Amino acid sequence: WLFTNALKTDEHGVLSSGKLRAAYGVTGREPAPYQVLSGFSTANFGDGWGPFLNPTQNNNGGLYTGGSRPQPALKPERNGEMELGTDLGLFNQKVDIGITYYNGKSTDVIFDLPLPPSTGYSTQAQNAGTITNSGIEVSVNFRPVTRANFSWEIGMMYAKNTNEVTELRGADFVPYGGTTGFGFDPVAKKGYPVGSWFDYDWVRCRPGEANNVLDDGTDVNAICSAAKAPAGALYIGSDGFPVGDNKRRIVGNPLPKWTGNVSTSLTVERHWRISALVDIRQGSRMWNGTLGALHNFGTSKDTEIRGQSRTFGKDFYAGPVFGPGANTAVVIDQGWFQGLGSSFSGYGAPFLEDASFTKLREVSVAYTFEQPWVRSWLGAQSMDVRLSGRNLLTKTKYSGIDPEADLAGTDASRGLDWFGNPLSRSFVLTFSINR
Amino acid sequence: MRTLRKVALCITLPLGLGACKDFLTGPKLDNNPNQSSQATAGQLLSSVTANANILLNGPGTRLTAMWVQQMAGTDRQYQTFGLYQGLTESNYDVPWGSVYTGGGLVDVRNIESLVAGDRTYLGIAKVWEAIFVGNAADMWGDVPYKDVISGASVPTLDHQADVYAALQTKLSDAISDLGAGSGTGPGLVDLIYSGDRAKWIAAAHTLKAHLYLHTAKANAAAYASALTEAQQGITNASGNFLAWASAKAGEENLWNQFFRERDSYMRGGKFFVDLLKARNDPRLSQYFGLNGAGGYGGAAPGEGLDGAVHSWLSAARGDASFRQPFLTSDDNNLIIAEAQFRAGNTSAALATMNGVRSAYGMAAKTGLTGAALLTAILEEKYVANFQNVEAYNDYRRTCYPNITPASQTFGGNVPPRFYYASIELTANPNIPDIGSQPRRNAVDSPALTTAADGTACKGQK
Repeated sequence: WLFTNALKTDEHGVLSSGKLRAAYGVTGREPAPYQVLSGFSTANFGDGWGPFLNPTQNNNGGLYTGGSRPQPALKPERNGEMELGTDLGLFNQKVDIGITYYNGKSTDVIFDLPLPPSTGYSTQAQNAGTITNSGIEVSVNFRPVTRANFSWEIGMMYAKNTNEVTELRGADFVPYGGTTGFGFDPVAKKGYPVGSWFDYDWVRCRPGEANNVLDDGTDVNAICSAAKAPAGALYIGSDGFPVGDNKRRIVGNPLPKWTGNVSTSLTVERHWRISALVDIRQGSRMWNGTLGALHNFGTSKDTEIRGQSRTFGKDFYAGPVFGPGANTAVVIDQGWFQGLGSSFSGYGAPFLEDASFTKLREVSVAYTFEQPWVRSWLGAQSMDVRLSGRNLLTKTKYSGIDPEADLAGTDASRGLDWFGNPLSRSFVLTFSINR
Repeated sequence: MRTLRKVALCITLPLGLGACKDFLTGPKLDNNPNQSSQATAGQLLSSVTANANILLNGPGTRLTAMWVQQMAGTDRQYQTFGLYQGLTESNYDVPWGSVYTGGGLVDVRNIESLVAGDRTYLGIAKVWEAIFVGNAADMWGDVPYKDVISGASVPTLDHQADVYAALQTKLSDAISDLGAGSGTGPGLVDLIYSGDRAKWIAAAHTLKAHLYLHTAKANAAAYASALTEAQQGITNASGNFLAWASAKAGEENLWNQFFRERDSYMRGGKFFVDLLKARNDPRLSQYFGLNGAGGYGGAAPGEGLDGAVHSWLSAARGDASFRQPFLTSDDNNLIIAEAQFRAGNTSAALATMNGVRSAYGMAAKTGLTGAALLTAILEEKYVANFQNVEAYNDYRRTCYPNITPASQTFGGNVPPRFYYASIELTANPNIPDIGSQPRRNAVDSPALTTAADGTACKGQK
């Protein structure tokens, strides 16, 4: 609805154009085939560490009941999304603003729900969940100068998305997005975004959470409240070191709080075009498994403190601490870096880092040749020459090699840094000839 | 034109509707071309045999071997496990899954229903059931049994003692099924005994002896039952229950595979290697290979790998085709010896023990009584049950060997049980979470204050 037409505002005035948009749609997704049928599997039995045995032994063909229980009652998923937005033009179209708010709900989401193995099956496809996705996207473009031989445009975009599993029937959590083999697996769990990490942390104060108990039966929350330590404070055992938690908890998720970009372009004399793009992502977290592995091998700079004395909470992993060994100085040695200080130990949460970044994504300069010699020499209308540089600068607090280096590529399990390569900085020279 | 269209419609519409019916039903939709929907008992038995191998000789047994210090973890996670750290509920997912899901109890029950008329086959399947669930009760204590598989969507826990009692009945049924002598059985598909009824009956008796023995800490009367069963059990090495193994990929011995995959992670345990050296036991070279310095040595818990000192398994023991023993005549006969001792029959116990020793060329011991004799018998068992979960069961029952716990993580205990697996906890609200699980299993309570040798027990609190 172009409401400025109704208001009959001046097309060249302050509010030069305005539009209101609204949309609603529903889509469905069908389940995978053959879910109602039981099946026998021939896959190898793995022991979790590499060794495996084939169900076929000594040429006797082997079959066994597959882990997926037949599901005769599956409905398709439904996704309903509503979108509201407005596009405004201001100051004779020198500025335009677009704002969109969307809210989508997927119901009857089909998950391979984990079943208790004591039923004889490991999973069953079920319409078990509801996921909501809502967010806002804002884009603003300025055109401060628009003259015949010089124009300049600046654009900004901001997007924020909130995702939550609002309902999950039949299981506490569902593995989602493929397993990485590190135990640091993304899950769908009620009350958290899809793809949240369900992993082991060091023992901390978790007031209000049940099952915060050490292997010898000590109630951690009781000690924490007696010591008046804040939530999240690190528990220090009597030997002066933290203790690994024996229970998995939601430790974070890779999704950013917001993303955005800023772009600008200049056109000079109709032939030169200069542009730049800055990408911003804030609030995302990343598991720096690479650092944890280098700790184990003693090759990271952090391990240069080997043999030196540190106190947890003060000058090493600074933060609040409590427990029988709190504020005791200890010697940080190979045993630490190959134990709890290593990502091989199975405790992944301590290696989560803030992976927010601001990157100078691209700067490019282009020139269009339209002179007569282009037509006579090349037989073409014009030729564009463009020099661009990509991924030129990165500003981030992340200590790993690149906050965008991802182990799993486009898989739903994101935010894992495990000896991946960073995005490359590149310079590209392009010639394009237009007839 | 209109008539043509009408005629075309009249012809195609009913054809189309008829074709629709086939489109929505029929064999193409009812059969998954990627997966078989039927299996024979033999196919299931082959899977069960392989899967049981993972349960009995896989990650769970690697842990218990470290806990009783027959083996040691020397790198990465295994080094930490040896110090009782990093033992999270996910560690027990593979063993738990092996017990119940594909290749485990669900398929043992499938075999039992497929072979209902063949008493030999049925008896063998029942023994497998007791092997799986018996191991589960040993490791986890209270486990789901009565309402599993059959359809309860969230099975409840049954008391450990009740599970053992149910398994004793199951094994007695198996023995009478096998004793009936009818039915052809699995024949050569059975890779353990090739369908030999007598050997399966003996194995079932030894298994019954084990399960009685496991309850004896809290109930001393069980020793007499264990004795009766063991005397009908595997008394000769030709009846040993060995896991299948061959050099073929997918059939290789699991310790061999583990060494190939993760060669720095484990070595022999210092306590055990030193014990074998002190005994001058020929099994030192049968079990272990030479270290870098040309001798034998083991690693202490938490010790990093030192190739000059630490031994891996011997060439024979570590070979891909080494068939890992699960139930042996040595173990069975030492059960007899111990039960005779417990009944007060000292001379018979001594003679039985010496019989086992002599098979390895070890001189007979004389003049032993009381705690010294018990310790000697348990020491023989500890040596015989190398890489076998039974060594861990014996440790919990008797505090032999009286090892110093590798760390204080479990409050001064050698880890007394497996935590319930995370894959069960996530989907079954009837399973208590870590903070509410018992510290020790019911039959393993109370913690022993005095070890078998009469000294204070160091690893049970």
